[in-house]
Amino acid sequence: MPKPPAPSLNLLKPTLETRFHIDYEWWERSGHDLRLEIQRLCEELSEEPLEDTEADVIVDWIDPETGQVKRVDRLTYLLLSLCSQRADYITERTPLIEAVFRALLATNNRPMTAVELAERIGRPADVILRALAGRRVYKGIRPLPEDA
Amino acid sequence: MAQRQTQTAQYWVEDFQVTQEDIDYLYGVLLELETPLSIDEMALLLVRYRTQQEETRLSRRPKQETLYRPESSYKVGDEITFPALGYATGKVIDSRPGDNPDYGDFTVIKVEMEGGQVAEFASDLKVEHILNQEEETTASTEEGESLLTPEELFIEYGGHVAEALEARLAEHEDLVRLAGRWFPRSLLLDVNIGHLNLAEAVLDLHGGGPMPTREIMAEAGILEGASERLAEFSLNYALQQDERFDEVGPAGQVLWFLRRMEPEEVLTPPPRLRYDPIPYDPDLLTPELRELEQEIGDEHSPAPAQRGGPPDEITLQLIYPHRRAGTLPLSAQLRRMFPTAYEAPRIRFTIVDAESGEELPSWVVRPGGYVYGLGDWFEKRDLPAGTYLILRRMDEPGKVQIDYLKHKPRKEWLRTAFVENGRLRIDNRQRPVGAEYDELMVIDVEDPEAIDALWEKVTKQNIPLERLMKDIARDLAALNPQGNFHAKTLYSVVNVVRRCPPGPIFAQLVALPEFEHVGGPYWQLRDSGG
Repeated sequence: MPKPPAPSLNLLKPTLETRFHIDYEWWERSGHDLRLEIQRLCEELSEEPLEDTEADVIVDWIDPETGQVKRVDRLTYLLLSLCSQRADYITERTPLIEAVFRALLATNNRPMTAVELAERIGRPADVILRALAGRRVYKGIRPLPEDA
Repeated sequence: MAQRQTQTAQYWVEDFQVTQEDIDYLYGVLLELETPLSIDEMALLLVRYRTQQEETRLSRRPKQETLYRPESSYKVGDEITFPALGYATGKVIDSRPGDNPDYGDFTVIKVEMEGGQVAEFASDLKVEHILNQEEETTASTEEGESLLTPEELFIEYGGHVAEALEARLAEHEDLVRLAGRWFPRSLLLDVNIGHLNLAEAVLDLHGGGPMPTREIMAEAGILEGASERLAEFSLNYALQQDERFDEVGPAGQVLWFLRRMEPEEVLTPPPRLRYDPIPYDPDLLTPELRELEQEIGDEHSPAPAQRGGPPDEITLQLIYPHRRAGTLPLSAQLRRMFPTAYEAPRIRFTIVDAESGEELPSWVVRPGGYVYGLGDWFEKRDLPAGTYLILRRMDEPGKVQIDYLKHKPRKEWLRTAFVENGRLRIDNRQRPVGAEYDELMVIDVEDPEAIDALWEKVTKQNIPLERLMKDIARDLAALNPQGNFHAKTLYSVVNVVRRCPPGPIFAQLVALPEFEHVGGPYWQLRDSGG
């Protein structure tokens, strides 16, 4: 019997190994402003308005885990280096999707699996996967295509 | 000093997760072998694969000086390994000054990674960074210390691996599980309707079965020339999809039977065994009644926690519904002695008569909670309900021995159930008995057909359990000088006309004001004058 090619076992349905990221295009298409969202988040944590965040000033940000350097605007840099380092950035009372969103922002949108997200937000991986695997896209969080 | 995570319990028990890479590897093995594998075989392959991967990774581990550290200086052309990126490697192709006063002076190097993509990394960094710390080298296993082989690791942790693997494999629609073995559906041999018709003819000639798949293949002359294990698995799968065939083998053994030739009582539970659950509050049962409930071992009672291996011998007292249906209750205790199966709801096996060695074709019917095939055996020995039956494990798998405590038949006074004016009556009557029985449970029936008709009436008219209990208790009390009756006796007699486990009966005893506890397991009716 001729041997058929092995079908890929990577299901279209997201699995525990599927990486998720924030789809910036989703934010643009849906008319929401991600910058405003980040500003709101930082202000909420610092409980005071941010000073002029100089949107057009770009600086280097060093990933605290990998050493990789990314060019980011000043607001994103504030989020990465200050807001996201606060103990109350993600707490057990943070809603699940919001916690995932914050975890992705804190790594400058480095794609992560449900298992990796679970480690960061302290919720079960299967619960995270169920929340993200549905048809509805929350806060632009989407599975990353396999070949990305 | 190399750390081997696979040598630790944490790796296999706490942290172990089956990855897509694992699944792809196992899929590849199944394709290559063209042989279905059991979950244990795959778990062992996976343990070997993971340990081999670790060895490979350790052998490729870069020297400390090439590991990326943000504090180090690099020049164009330097080759670097990045531990935080899965030990990916790259070559420095450019550099520029860093641009962020928060970090002080530093350099950004541009690196072309192995895959061709370009990324930037910090170097000459003066502020703290986690990657500047020495890489953990604390070894769980010191070099020179003997390592556990994959086979030894499998013995130690294989159960955890198999459990995680099984759950993961079940998610894949292309993988088929049959009798504990797995194989890709797309690689099964083509089994057509002609093959299936031949298989049916072969089984028909053998009284419906049971027959192992290989025998069916040999007699039907089908699927010859292919790998025997694959042919067997493919035929098994096709038979499973066809309603004419029923897989009836115990765990690890595939046996086929023609469904149309299976006894009616195996396909549909005998009406006498049917129990429509009666809601009751288990907390009403006293510790003594709970103990009695456990002792009786009704198949519908809550299963007690069972420890240890299957018992070698079990003694049970037959209740009337099973005596009449020619069945045994598949109680929690008996479940451990009779053959079980991975998937088959009905399992064909053999009960061996301890006295004559006669083999009785029998069935474990798991959904119905009974073992069928003893009708003639009960009749031939004229055993009343309440007889002690002894079941013993046999060395031969798929066989269980049945025995009873026999003695020379002698006339004895037995509690006897009969129908009078359309009602169940109980009296002591003489009859010859050749078997030991439980005095509290024994109940003889002189006219089974009349009892059957009464049982039907009780069922159709849905006569409440409470009324049956009171009627029966009145007759039982009349047979005792003190007007008492034992809770077990009441359970046994109620079951002559209505199938009911002890729980609801005992709860009614406690709850109804008409019943009075007189000490131990004895009760009486308040209006009985006892």
